Amino acid sequence: MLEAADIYEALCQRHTAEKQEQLKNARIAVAGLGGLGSHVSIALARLGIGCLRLIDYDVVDITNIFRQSYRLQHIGQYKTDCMKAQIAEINPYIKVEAVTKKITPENVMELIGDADIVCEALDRKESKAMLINKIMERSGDKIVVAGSGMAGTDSGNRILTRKVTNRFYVCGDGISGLEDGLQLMAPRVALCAMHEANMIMRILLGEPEE
Amino acid sequence: MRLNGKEINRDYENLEQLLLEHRFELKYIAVECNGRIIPRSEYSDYIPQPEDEMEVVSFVGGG
Repeated sequence: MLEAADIYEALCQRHTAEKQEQLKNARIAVAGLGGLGSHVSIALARLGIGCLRLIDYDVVDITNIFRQSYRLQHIGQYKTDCMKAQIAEINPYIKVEAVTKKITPENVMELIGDADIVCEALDRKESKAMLINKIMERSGDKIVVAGSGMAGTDSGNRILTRKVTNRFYVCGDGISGLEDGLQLMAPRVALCAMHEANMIMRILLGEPEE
Repeated sequence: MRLNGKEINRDYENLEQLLLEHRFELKYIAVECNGRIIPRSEYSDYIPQPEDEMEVVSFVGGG
């Protein structure tokens, strides 16, 4: 069994000790563990983020497998539990807080807890808008990195990260939604997820311009 | 004022009126004004100013 120090040393070797310290001290909430959030969570775990708060109320179903970071063996299990188990296989010393609840306007602040940055990875457009509006209304310093426009089969080059304010970033092409009858395909959704994870990393390391 | 890059030269009673006249669905948007997000709860109180630079982000579904 690897000790925490072994894993930290390996991360420092790859990322440098200075950057790793910043990543280790971070507290990130991921709201929604579908095609965006499951991949974001894994990427943040690989970065060695100190604390991840994972929020989703749903269980894995068969259609999730082909886009989200779950396998057939996970069908029927809560996404929060599956993700916690997968992260433990990458880095068992990350503190993972699994929150198996549906996000509502009333409970959103309680569910995201003391996270500094929130990854918006919900699927419905009204939920996305609700999350960002509530957090901006109720908090003076939390940062939100959101995803909007990753459906369909258009070029991956149209997936971008945009800074809207110094507390709100949006990743995606901005226009390709489920409402247009478009499908969600694994590579394009994962591209958007990695934009979100990359922006979160850049904020933590103090490189926030896009 | 500027809204999503376009110049607008008229007054509005409040932000909500501006958004509705420009056919935004209030449930699906986030409004940035001069570098800050104006939360939905302030749409009826905020009076758009001539010097305002605004951007409305309209979300689409999928995640």
